[in-house]
Amino acid sequence: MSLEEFLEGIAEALDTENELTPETELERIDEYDSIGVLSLMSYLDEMGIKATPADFEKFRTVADLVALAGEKIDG
Amino acid sequence: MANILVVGASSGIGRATAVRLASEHRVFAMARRADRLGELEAEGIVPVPFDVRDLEAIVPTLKTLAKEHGPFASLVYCAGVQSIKPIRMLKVDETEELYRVNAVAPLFFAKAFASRSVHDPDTLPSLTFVSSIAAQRAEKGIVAYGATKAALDQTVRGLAKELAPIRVNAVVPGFLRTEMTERFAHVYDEAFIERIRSEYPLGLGEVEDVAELIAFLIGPKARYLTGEVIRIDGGGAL
Repeated sequence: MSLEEFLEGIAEALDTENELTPETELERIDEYDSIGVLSLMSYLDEMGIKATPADFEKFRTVADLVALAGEKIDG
Repeated sequence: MANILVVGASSGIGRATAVRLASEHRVFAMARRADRLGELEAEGIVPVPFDVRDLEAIVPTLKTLAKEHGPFASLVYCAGVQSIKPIRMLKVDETEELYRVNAVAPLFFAKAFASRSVHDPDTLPSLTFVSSIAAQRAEKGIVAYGATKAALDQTVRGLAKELAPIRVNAVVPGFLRTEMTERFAHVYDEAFIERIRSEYPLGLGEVEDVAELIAFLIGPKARYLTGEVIRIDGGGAL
């Protein structure tokens, strides 16, 4: 999966029209609420990545999600 | 010794129920994962590999089992699929499977058990299902799962009327640590479990607690009990 596809998946899970970049701060995304977190957990789970609610408390930017996905993202 | 069929017996409440009942009954343990059933044979339990998602095969399979081994006194349905997904993440195939295993298959197991060739009318026959608190309490992320279990609860009440004198009941466990919930360890993390421990008046329960209630429900002391959905959660819902 490319970085672009991953970011599209994140945007779809959050149901946001904001254009996301690794620098985007999660707190600035209106849709990043409890359902947004649950949706992201579900999206990551489908990729075989487990993230706990405690993990999400530490995440600050989209780059933290990219780092979590690690090698699942190529290029 | 009465024949008892436990459906979904490879893990969690189903497995604990099969083991609990095996001391008093001849238990048939049904599950998709045949390798897991082999371990139960040591307890004198008869393994029956079967996938409950195969709806068309449920009635003929139970009729064949009853023909070969004799009719059943009770059927306990513990099979279930859990899903934690906001509506926006729902997938058609996953949602269909959720309904198939949690709500539709129970109807066909009831249909099969109700057949005079499958149940033994002289042994106070009963059907018992494992429901969920999600059927009663709305929570974000488990809308579809809760809906399937609510369908199951109403199935229990309808069956209790339609199939009497077969008794039909359900148990509603609070949160338990099982293989099913372990699959969602990223949601049910240590902080969640700690909260349950402190909020449930009697703390965190065990699958064996639920198995004990099921043993009571299928027994003669519950002969006047039907159509009930009984919570067992250490007071968690209070």
